[in-house]
Amino acid sequence: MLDLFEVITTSGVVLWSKSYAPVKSSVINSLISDVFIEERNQPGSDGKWFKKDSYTLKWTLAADVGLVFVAVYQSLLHLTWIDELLDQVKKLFVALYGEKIKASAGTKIQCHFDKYFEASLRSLERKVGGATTARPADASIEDPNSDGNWGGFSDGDELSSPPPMPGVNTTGASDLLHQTLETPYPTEKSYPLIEVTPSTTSSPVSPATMAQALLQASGRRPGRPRRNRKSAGPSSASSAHASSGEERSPARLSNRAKRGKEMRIWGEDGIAADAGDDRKLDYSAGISTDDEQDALRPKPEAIDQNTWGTRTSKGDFLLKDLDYEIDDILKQANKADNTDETNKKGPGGLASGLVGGAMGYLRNFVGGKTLSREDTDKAISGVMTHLLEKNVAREAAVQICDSVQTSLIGQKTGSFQSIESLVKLAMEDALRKILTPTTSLDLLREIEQVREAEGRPYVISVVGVNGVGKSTNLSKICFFLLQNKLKVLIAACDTFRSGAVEQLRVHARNLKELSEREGGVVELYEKGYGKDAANIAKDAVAYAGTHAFDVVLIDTAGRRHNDQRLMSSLEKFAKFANPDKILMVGEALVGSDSVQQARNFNTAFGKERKLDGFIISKCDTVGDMVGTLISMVFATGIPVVFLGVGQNYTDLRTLNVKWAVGLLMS
Amino acid sequence: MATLPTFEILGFPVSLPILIISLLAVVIIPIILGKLLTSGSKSGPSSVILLAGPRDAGKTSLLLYLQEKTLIPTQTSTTPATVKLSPSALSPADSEDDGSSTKPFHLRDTPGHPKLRSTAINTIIQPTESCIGVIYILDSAVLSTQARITDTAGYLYELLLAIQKRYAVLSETNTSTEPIPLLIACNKNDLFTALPSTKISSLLQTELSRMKETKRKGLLNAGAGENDDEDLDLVLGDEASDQITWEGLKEFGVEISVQSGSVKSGTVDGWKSWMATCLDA
Repeated sequence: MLDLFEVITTSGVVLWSKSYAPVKSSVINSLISDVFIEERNQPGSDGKWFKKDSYTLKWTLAADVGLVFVAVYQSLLHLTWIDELLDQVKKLFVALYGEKIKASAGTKIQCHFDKYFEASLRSLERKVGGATTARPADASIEDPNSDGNWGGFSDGDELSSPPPMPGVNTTGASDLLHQTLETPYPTEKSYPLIEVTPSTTSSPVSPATMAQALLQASGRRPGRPRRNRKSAGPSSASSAHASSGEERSPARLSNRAKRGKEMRIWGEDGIAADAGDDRKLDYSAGISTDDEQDALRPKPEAIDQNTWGTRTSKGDFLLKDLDYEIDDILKQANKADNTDETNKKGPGGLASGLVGGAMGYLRNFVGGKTLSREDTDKAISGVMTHLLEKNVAREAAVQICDSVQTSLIGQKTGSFQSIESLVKLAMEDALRKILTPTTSLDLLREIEQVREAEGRPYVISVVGVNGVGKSTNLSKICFFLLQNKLKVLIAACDTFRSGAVEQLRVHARNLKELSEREGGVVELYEKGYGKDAANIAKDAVAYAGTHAFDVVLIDTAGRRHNDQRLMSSLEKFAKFANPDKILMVGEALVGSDSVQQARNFNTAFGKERKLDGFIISKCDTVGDMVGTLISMVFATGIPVVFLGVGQNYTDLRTLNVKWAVGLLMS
Repeated sequence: MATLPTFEILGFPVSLPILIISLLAVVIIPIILGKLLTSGSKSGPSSVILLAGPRDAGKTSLLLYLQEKTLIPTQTSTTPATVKLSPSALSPADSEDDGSSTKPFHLRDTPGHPKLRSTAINTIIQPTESCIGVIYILDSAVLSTQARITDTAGYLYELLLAIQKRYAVLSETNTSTEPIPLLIACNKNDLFTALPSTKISSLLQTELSRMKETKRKGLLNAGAGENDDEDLDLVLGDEASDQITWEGLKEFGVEISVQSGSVKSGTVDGWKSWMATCLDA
């Protein structure tokens, strides 16, 4: 069952939406901010879907007109036709309203899209239904494919008994379309159909279990199926409108008629569910606004004349027109796509090809060229090489370049703007977007706040691979805090490496001497070697609480990020010490390993805890090759808090995004 | 007097000066044309009122409300949108336009997501844009949590700093630079948890002062001092004190007023009249 379908402009205006069940707007908002803005795909989704609460969201973009098409449905359901629906609706919508949208500069336009959407939804549902009844073998082959497509679909246990029951799944899908989930009625009726399908391996599906499965899948008002069934009776009389699809063409093929029966049952129950009255209203609205729509709609004349006479008659004829019209628009859109491709590959005539080529060549310099993937390939690969030279990890560089390229397709170059400069600008934007933090990184402000509001010490801990400079950076942070007259406790939780505690003791002594005049107080909390680090950390925090320290800095043992044994102790550490900030120290020197390091440390603290920031150390040793910044932030979406830029206590800096982007693009 | 050398081009005799002049013309005219074209396209709309603020505050809703006079559902924006409005859109719904100013103005909506805030900042800093006013929209119902206050004040800090920079640049060249009016529009005051505008005003001033203090105490930016980029060590307002007040910021090029309202319940008349005074100024 589709819960919500929205057409949104990139400027945030909902141009058209169809809601079958109330969905909080924060669901789509989080899709936009996570996937579109922060470009963080959920693990395993490969940018194809997005899950939020109990919903799965799928989307498609029309970059040239700046539109986003989003479909929202319950994650438990396995709707194979969503992609097709999105694609079809996109083509229709762009064909109908593309010009208007371009003219309106991203704000509201009037669109009466309801009937088109309903019609394409119905036609898709017909297709899916046809696939199960007419050629069940095909459907059973299709299903595993789509399973692979939707890699993360694992929670629908009730439905996914292996091998997937094609009849059940797909009829379920078309059922859901009409919101018939609450009632066992349709499944009883469609049960013979399922039995007919020869490939159904688990054929003894009792209607009761089916209904139960669907109930669970729906997740809505499971306690009241009986009442709904009762209400289905009277309202079925009023559903003649929806089922008029069969009445209008009795002379159709016999298998068509057979499917027609199955259709009618579902249509009826769709009415029986909550959307019933709206749907009827929609039809009448469609009839009344049809004439004004005709004026606005870019439509071939031949079809128009054919249908003109029947247009004023009853609704069944109107439905037919709409289907034809939609087919027509889709055909034209497909044709346009095809001609575009053929134009690129082989020009029809030599002369026109030459002229086109010359114009294209000229546009390379003069500007005003609409970019395609091929146009940008060269410039993008140039920028990618540049990024790799700046020590950006290959994985990150490839993904960034991909997203930049996708964002550029369909754009026009400005006057006298080369593709290269456009790509460079877009890349600068992308890098700036990646590095810009989404939260405030004002450490002093946060410390002050925790101290005032909660009266407890602020706990910071550093983690990282061996030898990246955890203790050194910890001391630098400590020095910075001491300068601000804070009382700092350093906890030596590296109970593993020889000399680690002594090293911190030296730091603490130096810092004490340095900060005596400033008014800061620093103390070392140590328990020697061999003890459990998490317990020491916990004790240190408790000690700091009783002795009125402002900040606790916890040093941890270095660990290799792919050593499961060492990494697993971090979860306990995070739970026991419960630091306000867990900062990971990463070397600027590290190459392609940076992405994996960042990811592994980010996931090491358990489900609820993530890293809070990075300290990129040894930035002075790499010159302008600061690609590690990008790799680590890109892999995790976690901001860079500090940069280590030298050997002294004072060589700690905050990140300046403009500076970093400048270095990377230089 | 020596005769000038002449050339024969396609059978026509051409003297040297003419040849040079025509060659120069061939070279220069396209350059001039190009300059003209690009400069023409670069200069932005005549008078822009900027809509900025944290996300989910109601920027796009306000824009659409002023344009369409109805509530239209919105989602998070990812790109800015500019809309041309006539001043009659600002007059109260029932009264007729008095025709005091008929010049249309532009309302620019910017995305509020932290990663996309540079759009609004750039609009202010670019001197080609004639920005006649800034509306900072915030959600007055969520300011009870410290995290949201920090976020709201943080963006405001950046905006004010940008306005201050713009003012400094403009007043160097122009002797009589008017301060930019900035309206802090406390949206969603129809909600139960909404704070009154006076409370929000004082909350923001305190938070901004604290931010200024910690920024002064904080670490240097990476790259500071390497190149002479004076943007980095610019502080908001008076360098002598950490206290930030709306009155104190007036001499740094921004005139702040705070007003409550709600797009949802249609109580935006105060904001409209504020915009109308922006246009008249």
